[in-house]
Amino acid sequence: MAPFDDLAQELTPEQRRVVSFAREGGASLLVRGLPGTGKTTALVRRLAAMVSEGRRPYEILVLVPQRAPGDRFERALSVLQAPTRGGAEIVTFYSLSRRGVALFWPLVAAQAGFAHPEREPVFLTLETAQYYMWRIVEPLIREQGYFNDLAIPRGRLLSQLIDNLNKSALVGFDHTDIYARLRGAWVGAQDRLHRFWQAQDCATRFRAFCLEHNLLDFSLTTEVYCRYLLANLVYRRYVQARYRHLIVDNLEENVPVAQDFIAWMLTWCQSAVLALDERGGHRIFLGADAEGALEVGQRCQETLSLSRLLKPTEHLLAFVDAVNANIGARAAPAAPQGEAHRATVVSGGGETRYWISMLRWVAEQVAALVAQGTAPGEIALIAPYVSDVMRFAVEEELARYDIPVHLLRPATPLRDDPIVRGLLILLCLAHPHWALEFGGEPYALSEEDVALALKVALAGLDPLRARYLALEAWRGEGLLPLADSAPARLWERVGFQVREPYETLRSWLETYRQGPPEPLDILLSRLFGDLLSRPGFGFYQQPEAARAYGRLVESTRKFREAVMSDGEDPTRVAREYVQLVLRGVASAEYLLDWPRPPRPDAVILGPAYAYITRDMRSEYQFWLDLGSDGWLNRPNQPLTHPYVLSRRWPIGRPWRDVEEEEARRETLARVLTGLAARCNRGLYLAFSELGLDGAEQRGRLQMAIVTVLARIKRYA
Amino acid sequence: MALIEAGHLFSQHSLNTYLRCKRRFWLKYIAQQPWPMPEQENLSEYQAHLARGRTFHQWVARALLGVDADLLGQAAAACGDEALLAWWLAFGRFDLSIVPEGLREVELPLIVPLGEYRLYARYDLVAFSPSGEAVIVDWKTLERLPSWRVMRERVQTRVYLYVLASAGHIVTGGAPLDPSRLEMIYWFAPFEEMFRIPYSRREFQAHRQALLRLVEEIAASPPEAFVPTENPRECAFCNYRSLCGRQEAPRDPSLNWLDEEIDFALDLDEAIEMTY
Repeated sequence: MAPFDDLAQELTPEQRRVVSFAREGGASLLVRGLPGTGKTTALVRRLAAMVSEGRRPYEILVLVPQRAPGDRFERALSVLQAPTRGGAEIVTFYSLSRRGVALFWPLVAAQAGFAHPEREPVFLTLETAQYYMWRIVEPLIREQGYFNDLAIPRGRLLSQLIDNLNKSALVGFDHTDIYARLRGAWVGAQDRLHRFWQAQDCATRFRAFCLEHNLLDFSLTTEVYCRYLLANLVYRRYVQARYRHLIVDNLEENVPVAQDFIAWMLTWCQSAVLALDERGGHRIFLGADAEGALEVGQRCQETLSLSRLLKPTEHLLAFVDAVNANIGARAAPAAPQGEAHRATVVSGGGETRYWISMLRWVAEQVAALVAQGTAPGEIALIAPYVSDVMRFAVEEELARYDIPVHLLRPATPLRDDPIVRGLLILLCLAHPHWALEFGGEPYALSEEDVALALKVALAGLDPLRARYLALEAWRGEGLLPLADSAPARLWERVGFQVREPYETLRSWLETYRQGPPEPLDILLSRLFGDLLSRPGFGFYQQPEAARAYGRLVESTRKFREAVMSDGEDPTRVAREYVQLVLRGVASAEYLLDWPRPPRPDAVILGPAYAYITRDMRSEYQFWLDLGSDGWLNRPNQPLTHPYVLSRRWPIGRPWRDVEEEEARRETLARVLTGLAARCNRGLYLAFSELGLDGAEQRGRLQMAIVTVLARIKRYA
Repeated sequence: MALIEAGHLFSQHSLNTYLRCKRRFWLKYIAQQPWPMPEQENLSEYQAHLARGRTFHQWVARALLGVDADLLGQAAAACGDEALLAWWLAFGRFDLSIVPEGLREVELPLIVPLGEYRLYARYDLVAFSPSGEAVIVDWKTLERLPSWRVMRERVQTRVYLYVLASAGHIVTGGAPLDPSRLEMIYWFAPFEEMFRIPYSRREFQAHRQALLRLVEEIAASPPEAFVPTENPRECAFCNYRSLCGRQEAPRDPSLNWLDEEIDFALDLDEAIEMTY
């Protein structure tokens, strides 16, 4: 169901009850149901009704677990016939926290232990948090051998160290308890325990550094808000005067401290309606607490279960119930009234030996559905992970049928964008003294690097010609003047139209090098304005390419504002920024990057997790790579643990293989149920004997599906 | 599909931009096109001014929300920014008794329907008296002091007063506000100057029609109608000037986009968190 239809849809009696549920007197209602039973539609209609009645919109707080689903509420408000059409607070708990801390900073800064409470706080992005964490960790690795027995990329090391702090804040335990919690659950070799102690030490040092320099990462913002601001009478009065009505969607995807906040609001707000997805809690890696959600929900005065599902969905859920039972998941059937043998399930297994043949089969089936009248946007291809190889292969196969692909993906590292990489190389060319280091080794720019920079900066260069030019222009120390000295054939091969822009660029960089270094965002903006947006250069009349440029400028500006506020050496900051990004640290998410709604003419391709947490829904789903263990295994995280660092796991209780096994099964069962509940018509199952790497695929999910399909066939 | 869909959110910034340059409106508010060209030669100074404006608004909001004055004073004294401190001290001399003492709302967002579209206003401070008076106060950190007449004709003035007259009763929970009892105050921190702009029923009706005509004109325009301004002096401080081929536009310091950028940044902070 398209979100825009929320206001047009005819409501069931249960949904109407949600809409008309009391507005005053401290009334509270918990609405439960599987995905697709109409809970969000009912909440959207309730919000619309309250605004239409003339209630003050800004007194209505709508809490969503992440930004994307909030769009559905906003869209409904935008077309409402009412005295006002918005102004309701549709926010995540983090955005509420951050705004609160920023606005009421003087009330809590000293109490929270900041060394300079009289100064404004600096909120860190993911990039800047990783930067500061790296500054703390790097000397410990170099001088004290921290994590020397761990072979994981730096980005993942840093993200796990930061994740531990985030978990402590979101769950609500002290950050100094990280070690005790991880150690208490560990049942492996004792010589690994030092890793946890080192992770604790890094977290403690990082927190102390933040307090000393007024820096607030995600964890500290959340902690300051929950521990200090929510305890402050001035702020409590402000919140109580501001918000009178509460609407919460996907309560089960919220984190424990957000659920505490909701529980507090239930004690005084005029009305509250909380919606909870049965079998949800997919964001456990981000701290979601489905059990806690149920506890909070039970504080509501009334409970209402929504159960209406489309018949085909019900049968698909019954099919998934059978698969889950075969895997050994303990959850009760999600759709006891469904019939697995009546589910529309098309299997592509058995005949397909190679991975690429599997994708060909998928493309054929998709093309057939489209030919029969299904809009491509109603078809979703879902895999445990979507690698670049898979994306490319799917795009290629579907291109044969002229069907485009819309990729669901989380934030990608800035360096994955070739335009950004080319611009970073230009920055290196502007600062030859930087002496970059990767992994402790000096890094010298290669001809390929310089070719990429030239291709990005100069108009009309393809990779081959950029390479020719780089071969002549680059001798290891800045770009060479080529106007007069270049071999005669160079410009014939590269193109004479490139000669002047090249010389202008070289001369511009040379002039820049003679003067004092500028902050990177300012340098990049100037370079864009002076040269690169002008005729002959790479961004002249290139709005799409300029989006990547703008993203880099914004990233460098935010980095400078966060880092330079503490009187850092600007040269060091600039150099370290470039190293950080080239190493692949993820960029902060920017407004303009936020995924746009999928196009109706494009098939959706994405990881199961992204599909579910964005609450998408399709007529047909294709589950890819079912033989892959990726469906069952969670990412290797040697320094953190989503289950142990939760409110559900007591300190000291060991996390053994049996718990791990059970968690895997239950998580997979939850994912499969979450997917099936979001499928309106039919399910296509795609697997191959050999995986992408050529290894035989014998994943447990594939085995379970084959068994269930055989049973259904016998039954039929 | 319509270029500008029903329900589109217009603001004083976007309307003002449209009136000054249709192309800039298109690029900034519809295409959301980044074009990272420096707005001014001294970009550091420009950014510092934007940041100073945002901080000042934040401090004032804190003061009006009841944060302890001593704590705020300590922060101001430690900020190390003379201009910001001067603005803050000036705010301390602002006579708050000129606004009603009844209901006072700080950083209040209001959105009202306008035809098939929506109109958004975010008030620094709006104060209501029990007897039906309402006063909007807007803190300004402009580098130049405009004339009273310019401020009265400003899109912001029309939008803010119109939105409050249309939806103020939602805030007060009482009867619809009488436009003739509304007033808008601009207070300029760098100059400690105040402009008071009254409102009337006649203006309310006229503004409603003019604003509706304007948004309908914008929404009905084909893409080719969003052309660059005919006044190239507007382009000198516009970051899109190279996209429009107007790099060499003559400079007129009175025609910068600074005020819009400060307010836009404040709005954007909110937009990121989807508050409206």
